[in-house]
Amino acid sequence: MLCTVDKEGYIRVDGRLLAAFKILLKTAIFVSISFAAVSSRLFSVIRFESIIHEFDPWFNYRATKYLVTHSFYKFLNWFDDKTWYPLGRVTGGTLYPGLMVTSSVLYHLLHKFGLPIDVRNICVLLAPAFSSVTALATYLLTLEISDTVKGLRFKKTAAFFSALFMAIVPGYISRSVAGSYDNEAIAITLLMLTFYFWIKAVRHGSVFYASLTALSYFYMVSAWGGYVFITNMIPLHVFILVLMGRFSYKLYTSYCTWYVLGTVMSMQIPFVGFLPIRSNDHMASLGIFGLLQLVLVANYLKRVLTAEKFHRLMIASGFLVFTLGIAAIVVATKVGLIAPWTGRFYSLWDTSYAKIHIPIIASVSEHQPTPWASFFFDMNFLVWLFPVGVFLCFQDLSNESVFIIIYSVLASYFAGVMIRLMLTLSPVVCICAGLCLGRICGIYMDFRDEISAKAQKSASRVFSLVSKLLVSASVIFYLYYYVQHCTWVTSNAYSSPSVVLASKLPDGSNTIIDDFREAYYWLRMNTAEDSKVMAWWDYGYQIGGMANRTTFVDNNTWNNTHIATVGKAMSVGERESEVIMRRLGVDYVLIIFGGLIGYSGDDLNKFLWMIRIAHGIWPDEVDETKFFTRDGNYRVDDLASQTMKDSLMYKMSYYRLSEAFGGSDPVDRVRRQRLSRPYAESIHLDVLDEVFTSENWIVRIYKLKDPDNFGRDLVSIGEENLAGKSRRALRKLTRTKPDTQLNLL
Amino acid sequence: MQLLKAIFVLVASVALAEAKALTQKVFSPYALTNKTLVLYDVRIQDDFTSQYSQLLQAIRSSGSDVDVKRIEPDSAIALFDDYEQRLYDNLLVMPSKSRLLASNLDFKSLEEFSRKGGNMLLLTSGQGSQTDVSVFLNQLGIYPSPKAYRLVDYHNSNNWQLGVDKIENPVFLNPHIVPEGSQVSELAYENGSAALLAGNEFIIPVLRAKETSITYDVDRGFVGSQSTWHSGSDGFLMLAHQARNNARVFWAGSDTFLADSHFQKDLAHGIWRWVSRVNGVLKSDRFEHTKVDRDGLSLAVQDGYKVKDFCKFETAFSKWNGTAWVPYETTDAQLEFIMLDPYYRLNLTLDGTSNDSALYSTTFQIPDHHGMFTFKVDYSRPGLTFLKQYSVVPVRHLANDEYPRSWQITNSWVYVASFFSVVVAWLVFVFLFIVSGKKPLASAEKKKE
Repeated sequence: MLCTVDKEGYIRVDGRLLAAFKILLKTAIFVSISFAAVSSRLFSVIRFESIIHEFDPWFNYRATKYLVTHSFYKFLNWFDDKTWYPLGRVTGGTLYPGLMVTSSVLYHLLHKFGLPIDVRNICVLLAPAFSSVTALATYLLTLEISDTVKGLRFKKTAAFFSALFMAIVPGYISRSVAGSYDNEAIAITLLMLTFYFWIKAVRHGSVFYASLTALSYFYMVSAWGGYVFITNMIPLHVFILVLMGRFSYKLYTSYCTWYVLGTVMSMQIPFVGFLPIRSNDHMASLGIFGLLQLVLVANYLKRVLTAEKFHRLMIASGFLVFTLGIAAIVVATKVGLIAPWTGRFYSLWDTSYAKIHIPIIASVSEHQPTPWASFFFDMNFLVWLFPVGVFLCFQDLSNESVFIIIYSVLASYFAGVMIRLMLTLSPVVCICAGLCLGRICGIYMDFRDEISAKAQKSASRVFSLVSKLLVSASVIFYLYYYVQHCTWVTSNAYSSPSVVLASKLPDGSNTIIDDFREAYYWLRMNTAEDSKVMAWWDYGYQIGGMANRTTFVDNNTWNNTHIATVGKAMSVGERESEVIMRRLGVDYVLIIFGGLIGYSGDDLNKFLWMIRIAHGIWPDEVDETKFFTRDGNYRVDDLASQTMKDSLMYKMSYYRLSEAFGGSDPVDRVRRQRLSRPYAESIHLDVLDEVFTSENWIVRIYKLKDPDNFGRDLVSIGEENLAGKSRRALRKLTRTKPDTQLNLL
Repeated sequence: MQLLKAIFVLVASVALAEAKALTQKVFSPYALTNKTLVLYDVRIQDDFTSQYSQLLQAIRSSGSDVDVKRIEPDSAIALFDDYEQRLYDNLLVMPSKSRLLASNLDFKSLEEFSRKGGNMLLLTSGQGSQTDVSVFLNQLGIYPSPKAYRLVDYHNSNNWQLGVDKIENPVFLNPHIVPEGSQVSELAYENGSAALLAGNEFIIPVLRAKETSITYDVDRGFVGSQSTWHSGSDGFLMLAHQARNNARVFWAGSDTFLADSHFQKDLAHGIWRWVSRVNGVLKSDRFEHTKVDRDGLSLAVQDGYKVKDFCKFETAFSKWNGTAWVPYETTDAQLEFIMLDPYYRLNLTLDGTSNDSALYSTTFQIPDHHGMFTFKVDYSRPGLTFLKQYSVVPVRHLANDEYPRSWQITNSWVYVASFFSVVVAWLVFVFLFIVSGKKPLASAEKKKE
């Protein structure tokens, strides 16, 4: 019998049934967590459509399509002649192929099973699918941690809580909604998985788990540049454990296995190549590898030598190793064997570094420091559970909880420096909050004492019941509020594809602004297949992905000079710009102008970055201060500085704007400035022809005019035509002697 | 002796062929309508057809019908049909005093005509420089002296008060427009005007004004810096212009050298044939590049270029001799291999000739740099049709399996050897460890017992 009633009246349930019931319950919880994770990420698909979002995902999507239609080796050796014209991009060797390979494997697998799903849909839904795996990995990781935390009564509760938090935490959702087909979509999953295996390896000293760590580390390396975080986290963990005197053969085995296998495997990714032994970012892991060997030798000597001798030897050799190590790194860096720290690295320590030295990094909004409010926005009540969780780890200080402490300290710092690194903070916050809530539940949601027959005095019983009920109620309220908040944030902030914009009409009804796709589709259908489109780099991937046209610069900002050239072409006058554009081979120029409808992410607002980046290369030709008025204002109306008015970007933005306002003064709704009508009408373009302007004027496309048939200067033709001379004036003109100084031109 | 004879025969046959070409009815390969419109002002030439019969004959002999019309400001002249196609291949405008060329024509129509490939011979003179013609010429960068100015040369003219009426021993600057054989000892240039130039790379100087000549404003009556138009050799008496689309314009500051009274057949024929694109016309039908091996032999598989591949580039030039395409031989044609800047600028060597074209080629190694490279041939010589051809090819980097393998690099042998020795040492160690590990342990245990 599975179930019996014993003599005392208790129901005795068979252990097997209980186990089966447990499994069923666990599965049910996982299914619900996965469902919550996936469904909350589908807002964008339901609201808009199954579409790839933003910028980088468009490149990933394009690369995936290439991989699906070509062989893997073709993909690996892909030379992309449609970007960075005329330099081209060695795309196969400059991307992290993990994401594309994952979706292409899925694609082929599904097709094998007779499920002919479009590549686009796989790409769109990959991130939600992986988010449920992340929840599972977080569960496993937290379970490993909570096993070692002594105060916890229900280890699995903590783990389930962290899985639930992870499933819907907005900080992670922001990078993994449906359509956000970016490296981070699978990288966070792999991050959790790698950490899980690492903890497991450290706990058991198992070569098997260490190898699994290396394997998932390899997958992570193949998927995201953020793998460096792991490359430094694990050595730091080991280093601190060694400092704490926790050196053990378990640690030695797992680290050495991971380091050797992981490094060798990571070097198989073409983009990484020899970085693990040449770049400063990877030196810590190499150093710890060496250190562990020394510690091992020291351990041996300790057994062999007397205490006094060993002490002296340790001091001497420690000093020697330290100085030699530092000297070696300094010399190797100076000689060039080790690549010096990159600008991106410096900007992690000094937030104003990028602003001064590398405008191209600072120009990206997600590289800005994080405002405090966004911590609450992205984590909700986990923000204050997080320190408690860390405190719990401190109380216990097992090898595993040390890892969580290190992780939380590092991730908190980085999340404060760069808004995009909120992503790496989210998992540890979820884990700590899970531990904390698990503890709370263990204490306050356990009513067995209160309802059991062997109760104490009734007064204290009521008192403890009330306090427990109160705490449980508030926890449940917070949990409810958390779900509410996450849903609201996801639906309102993170589910916009940014390719399609949602807006409200004055009467309150919703409307869709689809200018981007309108324009890209126009390009696709109306321009020659080999035509080259110049646009600021933000739109490079989208033009490549949606319009299928050649671009000059794109979001893979590998060549600063080329970007600066485009920036210069945009910021100088027409005559100078024409020379640059002809040299580059420009056919069309595409700009984003939000002034009519009030779309603030337009090119004029990014214009200062173009100027700054161009200024970095040509300090004499592009001067930022000249684009401001004399009293230092960024004006675009009649009072704008002459350099501003002459710049190509300015002219392209406001060309014919007066016509949209039919008689009244045109107003720039983004910069809230009014241009006078006669001035707005006088803005003209000589070297470009307007060929397309989208419905809301967000995208404007211009065509570079052919050089004049008679060899005249396009700008001077424009100036002459503008004059609109009478016949009398013309006749007079033919009778005046020309300025033969022109001969010198 | 034999050789001399052969050369003589060759020269004679060439001369014969050229003579034949002059008399034979030639035509332009670009002729669309085979019609030429001649506009004249009855106030200057009262009997145009008889005064300029030889010129009209020259036009007819280059394969074009002539349509002579008077310049009348009130009547319309159609240059284009209803579909905006050219009705005429060539346009000849005589000096005119008229306010308008026709009621529907202005300088924009002339621009349009040229943009559509029409050629123009525009003549102005001291007697008449029509405004639209002048404006059009100004647009090209040619500034003829206006009506009141007179071309004088105090050193070479007998009658310096009346101005220059002929140019002695004129030196024509472009052999394609005025062939070497048609030099004249005296060029009639009555009522002439001289033009100044404003920088335009398409202008081809044909006849420069004498160093001693000036044009000055007769109304002002004196010569000073304010009243002169040109002075010395900065003025030009004949200029040509070939636009980007190869449409041609020829300007001369006087019409008398084309009149029957002073007609010089070779000169007039030469100029007209250049204008109407019978002479100085080149074409290139071939623009090919192939991947070859180190020795220049074409490879069977043409799968795009990679760095350091060898490439053979071929092109062919033909020249129009009036009736047919013949090979065009030159030594100064170049190929550029460009990515932003030219990586190579190579002379094209003559490989041989076929019936109608001369074949040029060059073989080179693609630089060790990947990117989008442009093959470009820009053969633009003053007086000849512009030959501009280009094509863009991607040059890819080496694929993962195209690098030399490690054992092929002698430098790497030491590393390969150390790798294998470590592997062997490790295996030996493991073997020894397994085989020899247990015994002492067992004996130690025994000892304890």
